Amino acid sequence: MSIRTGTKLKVFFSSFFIQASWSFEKMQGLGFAAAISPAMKDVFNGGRSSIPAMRRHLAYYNAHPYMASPILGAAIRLEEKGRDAECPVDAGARLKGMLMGPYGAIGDSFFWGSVRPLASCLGVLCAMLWGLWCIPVFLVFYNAFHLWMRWDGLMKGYMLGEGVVGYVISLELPKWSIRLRYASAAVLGIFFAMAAFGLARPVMAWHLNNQGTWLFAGMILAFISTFFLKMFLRKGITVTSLVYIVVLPLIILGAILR
Amino acid sequence: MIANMLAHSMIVSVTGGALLLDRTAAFQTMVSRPLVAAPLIGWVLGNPLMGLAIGVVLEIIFIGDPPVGSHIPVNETALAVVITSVTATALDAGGSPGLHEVRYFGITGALLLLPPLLLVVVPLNMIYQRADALTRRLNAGFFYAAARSLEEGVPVSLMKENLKGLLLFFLTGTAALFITIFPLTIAASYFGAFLAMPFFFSFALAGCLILGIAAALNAVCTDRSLIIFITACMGAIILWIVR
Repeated sequence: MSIRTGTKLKVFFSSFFIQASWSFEKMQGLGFAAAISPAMKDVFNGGRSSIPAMRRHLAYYNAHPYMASPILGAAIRLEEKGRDAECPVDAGARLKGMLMGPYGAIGDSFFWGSVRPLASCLGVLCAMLWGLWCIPVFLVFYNAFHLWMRWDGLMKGYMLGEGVVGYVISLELPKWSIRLRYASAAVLGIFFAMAAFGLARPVMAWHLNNQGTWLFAGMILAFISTFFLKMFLRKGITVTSLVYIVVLPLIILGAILR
Repeated sequence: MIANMLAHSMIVSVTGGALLLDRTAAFQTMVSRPLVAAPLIGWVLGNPLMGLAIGVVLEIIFIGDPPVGSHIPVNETALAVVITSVTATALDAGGSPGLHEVRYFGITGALLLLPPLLLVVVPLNMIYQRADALTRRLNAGFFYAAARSLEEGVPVSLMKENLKGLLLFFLTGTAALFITIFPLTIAASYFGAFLAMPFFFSFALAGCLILGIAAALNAVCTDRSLIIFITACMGAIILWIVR
């Protein structure tokens, strides 16, 4: 007997709170157990009979929050199979333990490392073009990827069981991750050009009379500075340290040129 | 006057506390990113465009510090909330006419207060990180309480236990914001006139943007991303000149 659509929706909604009780010791352990609990009640007909399954899932767990959805789906399917004696009863919990590491790494690289920077770059570029309309652009772009993984991952996980591994491989997320980073670099290049034209002009006009010459000099200086700062960041200097290294001398320079 | 500042700080802290939940505890729909959080706080305070200007710069500066594993990154949401709130107070208190003459993509020079405020607010990040760490330590208690109930065979609502963590995240986040926003609001109301000196901060603002672009470029660094960045930049400049 499959779980009801309402239960799937409950699990989907609960998956948004998978990090609600994030702790250093058990990470998302309670969040995962809470998200899967409506399905366990359904699979084991509620009450005390679902307690052993809940106990199996109330354990250390840590992965990317969006990538929990395919694992949730697969774990529910395996719990059903375990109930029907088609596989060991702890197969779902074991699969969860095996997948959390790799899925965490894939999710971090794809969502945090690629989709989010691209959405941010698009957002700041749109802010220059359309003002506050950048907010829906940013949110819709980002959440299209996010919600797709939450919903489709859960459904595919439930449909495929342990076959969810093949499904995630078929998505080729690491390859897409690189492509999205290329797109981010392109958007950033356009943003740089627009910011340089948009900001350097009034700034230069303020301090210096010859706008045209200084605009290009300023742009070249900005270009070189960008690469130097990027080099420092690559070497492990934090952004917060660079804020002081960059901003403080420039405030003093502004005061001198006043 | 103090009562007004208290009310202002409380409204901003509660709104900010709710936004902070999106970072870790719930949803992760990115409404907590500075690009959204700062305009939202700006809107609460009556000037969403001011918030947007601040949000754009903070968004790219703090683009590349993801919450991987147990690492607690810079709390860019809290920084955006505090800077937007303090900027609004400083402008109300003593915005010089010069600030309103400068316009950058249609936004007033309020943006120019960002560099000095960044210097003041960045060290406060330690408070937000500690509040976050405290919550994450205390949250383990909810896990063990749920585990004990299940061991004893008592059917427990795991979701209810889980949501206690959410409440804790909200309370500590709101408290951390309030204890920083309130004194800064008082300070900004007295020193706003000093802060509102655009000529001091225009170069520093350009520096912030360049740092942001460098941080973003570093975040998306691959073997070919530099070439793509330069090509796109040149292409945009040529298009601009030709047009």
